[in-house]
Amino acid sequence: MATTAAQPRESTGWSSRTLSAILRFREASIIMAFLALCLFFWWRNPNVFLKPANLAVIMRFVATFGLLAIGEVLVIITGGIDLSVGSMTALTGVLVATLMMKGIGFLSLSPLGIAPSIVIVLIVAGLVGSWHGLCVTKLGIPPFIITLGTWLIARGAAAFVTRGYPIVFPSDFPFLTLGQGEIFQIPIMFVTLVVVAVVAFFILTSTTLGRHIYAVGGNIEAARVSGVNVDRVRIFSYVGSGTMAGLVGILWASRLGQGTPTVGSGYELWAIAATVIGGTSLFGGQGTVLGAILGAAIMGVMINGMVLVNLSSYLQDVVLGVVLVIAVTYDTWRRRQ
Amino acid sequence: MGCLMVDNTPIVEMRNIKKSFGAVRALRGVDLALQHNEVLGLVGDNAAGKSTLMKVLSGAYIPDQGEIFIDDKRVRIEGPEDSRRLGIEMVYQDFALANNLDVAGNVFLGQEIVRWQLGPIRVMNKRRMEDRSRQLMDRLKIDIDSVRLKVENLSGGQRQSVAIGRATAFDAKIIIMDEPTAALSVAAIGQVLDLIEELKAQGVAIIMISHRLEDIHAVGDRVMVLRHGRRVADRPITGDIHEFREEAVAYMVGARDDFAEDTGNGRR
Repeated sequence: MATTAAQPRESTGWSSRTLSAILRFREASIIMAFLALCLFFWWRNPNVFLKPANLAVIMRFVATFGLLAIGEVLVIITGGIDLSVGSMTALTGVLVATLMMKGIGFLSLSPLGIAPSIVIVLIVAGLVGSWHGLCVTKLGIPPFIITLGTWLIARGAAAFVTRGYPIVFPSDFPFLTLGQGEIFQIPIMFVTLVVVAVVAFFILTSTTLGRHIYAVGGNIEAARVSGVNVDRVRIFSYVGSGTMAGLVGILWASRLGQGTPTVGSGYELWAIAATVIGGTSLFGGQGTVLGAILGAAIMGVMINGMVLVNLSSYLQDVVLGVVLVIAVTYDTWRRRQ
Repeated sequence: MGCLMVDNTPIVEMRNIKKSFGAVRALRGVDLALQHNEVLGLVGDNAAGKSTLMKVLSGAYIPDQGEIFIDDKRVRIEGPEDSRRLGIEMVYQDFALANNLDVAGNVFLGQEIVRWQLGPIRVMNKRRMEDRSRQLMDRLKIDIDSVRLKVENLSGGQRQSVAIGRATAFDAKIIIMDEPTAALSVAAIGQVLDLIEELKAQGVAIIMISHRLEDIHAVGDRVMVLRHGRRVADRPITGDIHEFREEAVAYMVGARDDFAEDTGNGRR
């Protein structure tokens, strides 16, 4: 029984046990790939890569894709997908700018303060997420389709509301600190990512909700007959993803100093790529917050590094695509071992 | 056979259960009695109504007609929660476990031990769930190195043992197993049969649906045969496996049909 397994473990030394623990640690290979990438670009461009200004650029990339990837990982673990997050970033960015600068005419809503605007936008984004969740669970619409609908609707609505023009904040507007400000040279966007990541990590690893998210992705029927409220769990994951898109929309409106309907194009695919590089299975049941952030970090460093080494922007896409394929292939192979 | 003797009160009694799906009459008035501490084998050809009858007992289906008694008390079972509350657990044939969770996670799935709760946020007490799972595995003599192993890394027999074991984690008195030994290796079947005997020794009553008559013969006390939604045989398991198989198959295919419906339950 238990002793049969304990014996080999006790006979090996401390160092080999530690080594095997590190190798078994899912994210170890991703961390190593990340460090290798950093070393490479540092070597290629020692003068710029580690400069605080450049690190801040990387951190904002990582924050953007990391936040979206955290939302995406919640959905993907349950076996779903959320294609709307890029367009939602645009819509919520436009919405937060409209609320603060213009108010909403037909609701006779005069311009609001910063905090209420942010809260309203996050709630709206969460509601859009719950719409996705309700359609997927109660109506049985494939998540790919319902979020593809929002992908179009949100992008179109953002362009329609603004007539295609950005809503620009005054350059001294305090809201801009959120996306542009730094605390001890660390962008507030990145601090936001860390805070959100800690919360998401805690939910996924320590709460019943997190356990049920994995269970739904692993075996939805087993979860159902075990008394898990499967629909509620899935709806939560879409609300989480929608809210993350809203948060990124707010941060980017602040970062750019404007709410613009063209922001965030293709971000849903970047976010999904980040989760996959981070070891999330698109079949559901597998994935971690740490992996999603590491995936986003790898992408952030690569995008930045390729600019630093003057790689043609066409080739940048090729390289990123190749990296994605290698990551998935390696992960599939490792899993089969 | 005094009817007043407590020992003779069945732990489960189902009377005249009828269930139709559209024009298909899946159960045409079936009676079932399960005694305390008994292993009842439930057999029948495909579509004989075995699974339907068990789904009625586990709350997955609501019967069109009929009564269910637990310890002589009339009960209403209108959902899986009802049957679980009455101490009935069902072990499903194929969707029993989440392979991406560990053993402890599966044992406590849907019934996690909570350390503290703040609104909808319920923080699990993982250590206690692991300890209790370990105790459960030891108590049932289920051979698993660690309860932190993911289920996908277990053998078929271990998986089925965990699936059955988790049913007993919450003091189930009655366990229903749907084909617990289908699709298992010979060694794994032995493990599962040992587990069934262990459960019986610990006072659990078991209903076991199986196509494998030798398994029912090995661990069962009584066998009940269903055919076309009716009970066509119900008798203690005696004799050697060949006799038993021959007789059971004769009832299953309808070659024999001499069962007096009125024995023991006073219809007519």
